[in-house]
Amino acid sequence: MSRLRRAWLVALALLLASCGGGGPWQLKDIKGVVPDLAFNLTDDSGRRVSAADYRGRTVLLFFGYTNCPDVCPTTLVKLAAALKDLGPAAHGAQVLFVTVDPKRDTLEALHRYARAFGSHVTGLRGSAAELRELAKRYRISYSYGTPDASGNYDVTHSSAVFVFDAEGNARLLVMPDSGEKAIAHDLKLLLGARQG
Amino acid sequence: MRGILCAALFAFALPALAGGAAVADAWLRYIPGGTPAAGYFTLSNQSDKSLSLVGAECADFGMVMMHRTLERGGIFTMRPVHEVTVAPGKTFSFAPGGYHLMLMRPKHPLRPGGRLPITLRFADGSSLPVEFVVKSLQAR
Repeated sequence: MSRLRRAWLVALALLLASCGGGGPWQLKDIKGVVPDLAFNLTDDSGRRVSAADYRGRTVLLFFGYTNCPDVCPTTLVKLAAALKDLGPAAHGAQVLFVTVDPKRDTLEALHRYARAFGSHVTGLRGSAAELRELAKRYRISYSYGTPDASGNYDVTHSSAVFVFDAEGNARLLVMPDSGEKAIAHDLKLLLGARQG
Repeated sequence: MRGILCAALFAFALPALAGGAAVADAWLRYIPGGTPAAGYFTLSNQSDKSLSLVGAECADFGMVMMHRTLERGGIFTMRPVHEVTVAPGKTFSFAPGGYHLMLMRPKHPLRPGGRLPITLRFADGSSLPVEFVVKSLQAR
């Protein structure tokens, strides 16, 4: 086999390999499937915010609540670790932690909780109606368990993290089994595309 | 003599220690503020009988519950767990994203690097005191 022919075969194999996954992404590609970023909420410093305030940044949207001791910190720690892997490029990314439990999560509690995971994390809170609207838009669900004698209750909530590009288009979905490396890999591509 | 008397008194006052139960890698994730903390550990049953964990207690928290996070159809749910049975010679892990102790209403702020005594209770009435390490928020 000539050297040229072998080079062609290698190139073809590489091309096929890159097509096999349906693009360069390691996370689930949701482009054109999930609506773009839109919301009206209050951030954890008390400021009214909308999607326009985060234009120009890669946004990771996650729904949870501060009385969630296991899976919410686990997810936020994973996202924070992935962002740390990106180094200075992470400044172009923003994690938005929307509470699905606005009754218990005061802005102060939300602020303390969000900041504990790093400066890239901001807590968002809405009225019941604002939250309902957001949940409907992204087809996420949440519900509340029966309060116990002390008034504590569990909250059931969507497990996915939605990733939006700098223009607010929905791009990727971080699932519970998505690894930190896959998240960092895809965010790097998204953030790179923004700069390039 | 006095030592023996003290030892005898202690043996009398303490509940039976769980035989054959051992715990490794016991830790809590530190979260600032008064939000609940999650406790994780690996329980091994080194006896020849099955071991059933039915609860835990900690003097530093208002309430401790056993919980399990379940992910089904894109939804996270926390379910209370009443009993975890470990077969002889087997181990069972309470780990992030799955089984965990939910420690509610801390009586004082936790400090990363600190230690916290938690007592595990078993179905046969025995118990096991375990020292949990308080790890930083970034711990996994």
